[in-house]
Amino acid sequence: MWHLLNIEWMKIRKFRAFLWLLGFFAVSVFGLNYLCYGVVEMRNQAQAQVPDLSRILIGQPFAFPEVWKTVGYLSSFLLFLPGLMLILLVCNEFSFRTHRQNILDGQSRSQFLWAKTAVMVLLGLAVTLLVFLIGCFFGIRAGGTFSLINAQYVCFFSSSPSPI
Amino acid sequence: MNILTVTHVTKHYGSIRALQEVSFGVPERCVFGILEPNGSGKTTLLGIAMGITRASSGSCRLFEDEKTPPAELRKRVGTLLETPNFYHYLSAVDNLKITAGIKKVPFDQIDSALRKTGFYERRNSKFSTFSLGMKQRLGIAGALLGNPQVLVLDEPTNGLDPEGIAEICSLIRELGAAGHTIIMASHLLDEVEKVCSHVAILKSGKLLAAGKSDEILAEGDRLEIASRDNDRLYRVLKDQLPQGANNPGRDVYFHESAEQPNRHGNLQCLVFLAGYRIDPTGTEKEKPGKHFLRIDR
Repeated sequence: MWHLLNIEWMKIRKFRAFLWLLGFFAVSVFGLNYLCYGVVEMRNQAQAQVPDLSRILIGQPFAFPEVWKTVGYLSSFLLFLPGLMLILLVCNEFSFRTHRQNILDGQSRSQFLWAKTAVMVLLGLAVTLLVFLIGCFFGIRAGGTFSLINAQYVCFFSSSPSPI
Repeated sequence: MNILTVTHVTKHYGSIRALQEVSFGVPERCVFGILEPNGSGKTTLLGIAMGITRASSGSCRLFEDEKTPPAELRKRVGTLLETPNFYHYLSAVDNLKITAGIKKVPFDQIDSALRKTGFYERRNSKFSTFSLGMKQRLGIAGALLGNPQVLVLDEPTNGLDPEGIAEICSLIRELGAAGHTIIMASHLLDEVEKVCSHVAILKSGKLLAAGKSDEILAEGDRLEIASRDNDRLYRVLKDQLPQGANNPGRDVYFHESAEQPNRHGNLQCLVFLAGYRIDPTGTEKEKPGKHFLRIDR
């Protein structure tokens, strides 16, 4: 499997369209969460004279442990981007018939499919880790004690379909 | 030992018969040409041989080995099938690194393969910038990685300029002399005659002849005879004319030679005695010295 992943890495590392999409996704996920965080903070400050009311009405969606649900939900709006990246990776192989060349060179069909599946799983893990780190960032920024309660919502993000 | 054994291979694409009961063997350490016009099924045949296309019936065996998985056998074969397929956004070297990675071949062989095909100077250019001939050279370089025992090349000189054609033909001859087995498909008789020690001739998916090039593609007069019952004709004539008669059951043909100038006359006599009549109105000349006579009872 390591050998297969190495081959997939050789295909991906110079694939500009894929790398640009990955970068765009990372920036967009952070940006979307930051935007929402900013809006919540502004509203909290506007209602600072009635802090208890503010806390009741809006709550603290970016504080632990609610931050995991909030960040997981907001980030799921951009889940189509990793999907697009995977589609790009697989469709390129068929468009340029490189899958055929890989098989002619000695890769079996099952190895080819396992390699693509492994890339899909690793991409899912990578975006989940990114969302987790973003959750940690906003959670710490919002104050409060670090907590992993509700952190499973971030894991759901990596496997849930886009709300769109 | 036969490197490749093709046994009664048939392939249909819907109502189209790409291959019909093709059988031949490729001996070890030869340059084997598969000669046929475009669209006659040679790429299909090579695809079946390499295990990437499934035959409708029949079988192909590589290395006489039925136990090793086909993917492992393909690692021992350098293949160029149709137009080379590589990653457009990668350079020549990066593409060959992927090929080398799959074949588990050290990367230091890449430069040597590129030099053999005259491609070393463009090794860092992207595949998307290459002409057809350059892609072909890169494909051949990929096939050479790992110094494979067998090379399967589908029209290796496709898209090349005359100098490139000469270079590749010379390379094939060199590799053949070094003991590699090369299976080369082409529609160019001239190319096959110059390079190949053995040849199989296909037309419309049917095997017409297979054997050593100097026998199959011999210069000089050749008489081809067909009838409604080739099996019977073959049985009648083979004892009388031992030099000829390839492919029993298919078109029967005999080689003329200068030492036997009366062959036509002898043949007419034999055919008549067997109850056949040669119909001269069916004569066709496909190439100088080659006559095709239709025989009817």
